[in-house]
Amino acid sequence: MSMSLVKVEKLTMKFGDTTALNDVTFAIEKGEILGLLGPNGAGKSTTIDLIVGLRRPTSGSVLVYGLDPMKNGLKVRRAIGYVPQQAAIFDTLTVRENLSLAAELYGIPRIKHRVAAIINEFELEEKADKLAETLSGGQKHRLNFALGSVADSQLVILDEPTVGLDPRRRAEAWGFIRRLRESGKAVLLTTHYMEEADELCSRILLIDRGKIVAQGSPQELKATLSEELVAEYHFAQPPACELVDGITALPDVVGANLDQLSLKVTLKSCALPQVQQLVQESKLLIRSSSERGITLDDVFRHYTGRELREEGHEK
Amino acid sequence: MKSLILARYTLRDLLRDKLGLLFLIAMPVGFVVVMNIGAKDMAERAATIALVTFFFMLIIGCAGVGSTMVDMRRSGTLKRILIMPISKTGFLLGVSLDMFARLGIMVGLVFVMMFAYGITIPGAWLDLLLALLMGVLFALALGLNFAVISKGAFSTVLIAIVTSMMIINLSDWNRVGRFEGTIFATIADHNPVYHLSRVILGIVHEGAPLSQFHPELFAIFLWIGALFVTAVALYRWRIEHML
Repeated sequence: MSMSLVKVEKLTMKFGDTTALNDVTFAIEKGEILGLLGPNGAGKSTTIDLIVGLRRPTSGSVLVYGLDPMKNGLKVRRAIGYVPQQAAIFDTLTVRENLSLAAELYGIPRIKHRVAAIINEFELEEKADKLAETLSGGQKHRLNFALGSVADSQLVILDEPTVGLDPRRRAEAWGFIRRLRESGKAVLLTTHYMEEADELCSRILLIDRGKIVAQGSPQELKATLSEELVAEYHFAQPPACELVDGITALPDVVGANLDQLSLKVTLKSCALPQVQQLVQESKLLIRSSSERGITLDDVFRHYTGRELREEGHEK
Repeated sequence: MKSLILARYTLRDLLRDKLGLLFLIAMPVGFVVVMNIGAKDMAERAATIALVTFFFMLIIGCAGVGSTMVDMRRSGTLKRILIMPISKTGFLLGVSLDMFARLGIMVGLVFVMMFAYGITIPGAWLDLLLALLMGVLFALALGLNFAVISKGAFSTVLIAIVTSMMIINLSDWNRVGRFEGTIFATIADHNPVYHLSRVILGIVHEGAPLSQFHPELFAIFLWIGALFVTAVALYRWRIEHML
């Protein structure tokens, strides 16, 4: 019987009156990339803090390699690689020294050999003996990932590692995550980018306001709305509430979401002509309209009634 | 030991920071030079330099360890280190060791300058050095408490400076008797700065050996231990609630 690397059961975390996590249960298995997909403030970082033993849960349990991280913090953290959102590096140390410090703290044997291999893997050879403060933004992010890999842990936690990255750096980061998958490591990836979760994760937990609202592979999640599509309309002026109410009242319309001038309608395909007719009858000037298949964003909206926020996302 | 590993790497920062290094050397040198201007009484000069060095170390140590921790929190390296296999106590010791080494260098330079000026003391130099290093340890233990609860670098440094100056002032270190008959006299009796001042003045004025100050040394170590324990407890609380 295989043991889960991480087992989280009925985890609840409260800060005063605020509930950051509410009865969360999941497991991370060997070799999978588990995505924790949710908007800012959904409880993703709190989940990580509890897994690595930085915080004590209000109730529920976390086991990492069968150990309670609050009681066996050193053992648990020795077995986890961590990549934060911000490039957290010591600017006044060289690239090699940053990696050596991490390797020494992890108690890795043959440090020089391991550090040289990591420098090579992350293409930092030219800058190996330069101070980290002299690195370009991309090199700093590579070093950030390299620091998370130095211990060669079977479990790597990536806390929103691509926030604010340009497309080239994001592609680099995705390449690193794919390499982790190929080497059989388990990855916990928190993100609020649906396409990142869709592209990289073998399983996704949709989290909102501290609760897991749905889980499954990206395909399974999208299949829950498989007979549906999304019609999007962008108007020149705000549509009246009557239009939204009229559309929502149609039998095969799942939901309608109005955001100022844009209207997103999730519907079964047979309802599309009726929706189009209502929109035309409204005599509103339509700047653009489109129909598309279901995305994880739609799945998230279906379960929560809210959008996954995409701020800072450069296409 | 993980603390030593951390301190070894963070100390490299000092060697690379040319301005910081210059300040570290220039400050004790300049301080002894200034203190010697117009000074005549050898015993008084030695006592003033030793005491003011202790007070400086208290202020700089408190503020320095505080701002180091705030810097690490801001850059994200604090959380990164916390998720590595190093205990919270080990981490705090590592940060303190780094600052202890820096302040130790400054105290050493003050001694070199005192030798250069031909200043002599009736007691043993080693005893004086140990007393001052105990002062540094007290400063770091106190500073760690501010470091773990403060948010910004400015407020950390400000709190550290104001608190150290209050502790110095409330110690009645020169025993002029201005607190006599008030609650402040009792406070001064339990103030670690008072105890350390007594030890330093005893060595410099009377040539007393360090071993003669058992009650004072016990009180100082008690303070250092208690402050370190509260710093670790506050640090754990801070991580669990506010990181």
